[in-house]
Amino acid sequence: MIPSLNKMKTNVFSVAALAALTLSAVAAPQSFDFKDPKGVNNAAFKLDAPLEAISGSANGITGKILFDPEKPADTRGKIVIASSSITVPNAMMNSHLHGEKWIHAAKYPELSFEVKALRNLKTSGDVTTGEAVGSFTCKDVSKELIIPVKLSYLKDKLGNRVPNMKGDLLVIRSNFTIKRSEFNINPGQAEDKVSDEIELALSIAGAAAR
Amino acid sequence: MRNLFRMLSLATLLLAAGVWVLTGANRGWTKNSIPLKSADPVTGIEGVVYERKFVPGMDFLAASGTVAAIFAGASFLFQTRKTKSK
Repeated sequence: MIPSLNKMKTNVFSVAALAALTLSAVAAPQSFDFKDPKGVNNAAFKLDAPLEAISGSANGITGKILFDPEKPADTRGKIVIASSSITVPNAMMNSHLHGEKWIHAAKYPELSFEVKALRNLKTSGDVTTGEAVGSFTCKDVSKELIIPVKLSYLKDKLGNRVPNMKGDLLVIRSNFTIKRSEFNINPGQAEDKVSDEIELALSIAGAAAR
Repeated sequence: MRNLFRMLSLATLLLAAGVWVLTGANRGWTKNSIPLKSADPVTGIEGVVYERKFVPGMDFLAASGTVAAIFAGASFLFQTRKTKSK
């Protein structure tokens, strides 16, 4: 009688431990990798100066975001944009853009946004909207920004995008404006042709494989 | 020679205008690549890929106009052949 009771106890503990492990695995935030094998992730930008409008994009996006669909407020991570991937359609303008006066891609190879907190969140289904508080860094100048974000959690959709892989996707969209003068991008110069305000539109998808 | 330079000037202008119109009459700067957008069906993200393509802009027209003006100006360096009166 006693050995069977002991065995039962052991089984109960095993099941409880397994359940706890499973729960902890489900509840833990997932790490979403934003290095996109399809190269679709991009940050588009637009500068609308009185004499000229310039638009372009950057697709050299990497970074990781820790996201828990049950606790979106706990989202943390960093998105990095390779300066060399910033492109405008005119070749000469592109070379000026990467030069010392402007982005200086050789010396400052990355721009980044580090998410420190999400706030004012509203979740409807798999979509969470709110504000991201974080640090935007460009040319070694870091400034705290509060930007609007929309996060779409696509559970089990990784396989639809990357065959033979299982996991989830997290799509982040954000439109915000920075001032180039605040990030040492040729401040105060040629503002009639290159506006001080840069409108950014971030559209990125990260994958968490299982 | 005078007429040759004038013809060259006119040809440059017409050719530049023709190329500009046929490539879409771009009123911005000349482009060496054009952005092609395609939507990812799963995430809905609109990706941008740049394809190499020459699209002349207003600077191309201005440069062509300058070349045409130089040809036209050069034509004045040559005198018209005077016919001998009998």
